Amino acid sequence: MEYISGFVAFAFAAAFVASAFSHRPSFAPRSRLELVLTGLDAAAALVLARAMMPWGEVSPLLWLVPVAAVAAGAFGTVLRWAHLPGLRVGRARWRSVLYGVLHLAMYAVVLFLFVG
Amino acid sequence: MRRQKKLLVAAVAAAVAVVALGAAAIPRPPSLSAEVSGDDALVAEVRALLAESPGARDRLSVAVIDGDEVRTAAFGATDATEYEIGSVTKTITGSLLAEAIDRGEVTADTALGDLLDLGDSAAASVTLEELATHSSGLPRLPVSVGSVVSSIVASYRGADPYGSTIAELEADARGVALGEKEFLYSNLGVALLGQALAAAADTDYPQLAEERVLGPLGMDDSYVPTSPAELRAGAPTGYTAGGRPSDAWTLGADAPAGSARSTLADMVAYTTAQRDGSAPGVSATEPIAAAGESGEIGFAWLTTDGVTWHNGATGGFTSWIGFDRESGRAVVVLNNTGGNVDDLGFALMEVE
Repeated sequence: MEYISGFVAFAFAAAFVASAFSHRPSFAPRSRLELVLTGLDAAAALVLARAMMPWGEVSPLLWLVPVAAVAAGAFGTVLRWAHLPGLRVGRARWRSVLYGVLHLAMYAVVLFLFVG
Repeated sequence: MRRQKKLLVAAVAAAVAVVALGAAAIPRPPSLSAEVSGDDALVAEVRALLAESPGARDRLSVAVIDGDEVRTAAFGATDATEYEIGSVTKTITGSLLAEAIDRGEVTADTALGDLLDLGDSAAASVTLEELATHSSGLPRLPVSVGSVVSSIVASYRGADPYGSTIAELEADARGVALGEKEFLYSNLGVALLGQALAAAADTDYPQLAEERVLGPLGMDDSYVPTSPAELRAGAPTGYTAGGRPSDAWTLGADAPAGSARSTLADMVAYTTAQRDGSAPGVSATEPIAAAGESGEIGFAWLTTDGVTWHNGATGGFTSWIGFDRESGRAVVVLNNTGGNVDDLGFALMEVE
């Protein structure tokens, strides 16, 4: 589980980069909400990896790799922001809100378990 | 054009902010303290052995005793630095059983149900010797959805996953089904054993340990807390194997299985007395049953290839003590991280 958390962080950070820059339907976000939540997912995965990875056994500098990926994602998010609708077009508003609330609940669990 | 430039600046600023935050949050696992004291050769030997098992390290105290000669190596610690000794506490509980038998308070075959409120549950029929030799059929821990969830949450938060009352411990015991009567390491079993012995002596476990083992051996800096409120002033906490700060483990009613705190000086006295046969309830060290891959077991004490030993691990500490009566060597290792020290302990037991 400890090392898996590192791979999870890499995976989520990579997904954020893809979401911020890609125009392929499978990666491209369809709303600002989705893009922001993808970024927050990556941040949550970083929190998990920071807490779970056995940093005494691997170089803490590895931490900077997913951080750099999230930074690249943040860069792409700003550039893409103006070209996206706030919520996904064609999806009921309540579904978008529920999607956001579920993510927020997950972040709360991560913060409770791994921070403070 | 100007708008695009502004956008680019904002994007770069966002990226720089993330990098700055990430750099500020870079993991900083503890490393073995550079404040070193003790026997130079032993310090070098410990360093070399630790290099073979990387992981979070911070404070570490080691003693190697040959006959009357005690060599120590301390990293960021003194002889009086306090550590949680975790399951080494079980050897105290084992000694208490041997001592209680000597005093005629109980016998090895006394049923647990004679001393604790277990009704007609399966656990009531278990004998004290079965508990001390981990062959009672009790599971390692009582398993329920609630306990599993709270255990997971506690492990992620670096918190003490124990903390039940004696009544809750008894309720747990009443609820478990017994497995095969073969070696299965059981924290639940030793916790019940300690509480049963305390009940037989009409006292509580910390007091019993103090009166019959710690006190007689002059282990003034050792004690058995059962709640955070019972920790002594300045009681240190440690780090998980991953390097995260961990809470103190005081275990509540499970204290007989692992909540004792001690120092290098006290554990040297304890282990030497076990080796020399002068410790209260020392017959606990004599193997009386098979212990699977560990070899044999007495009352909690394991014997593997002639070395009588026990290890301990809490959320933020690990420990190892052992001795070999034939060679006369005894070893104590106390560590304030979750990093394993078993290999270090066994390696130091090798007679030069």
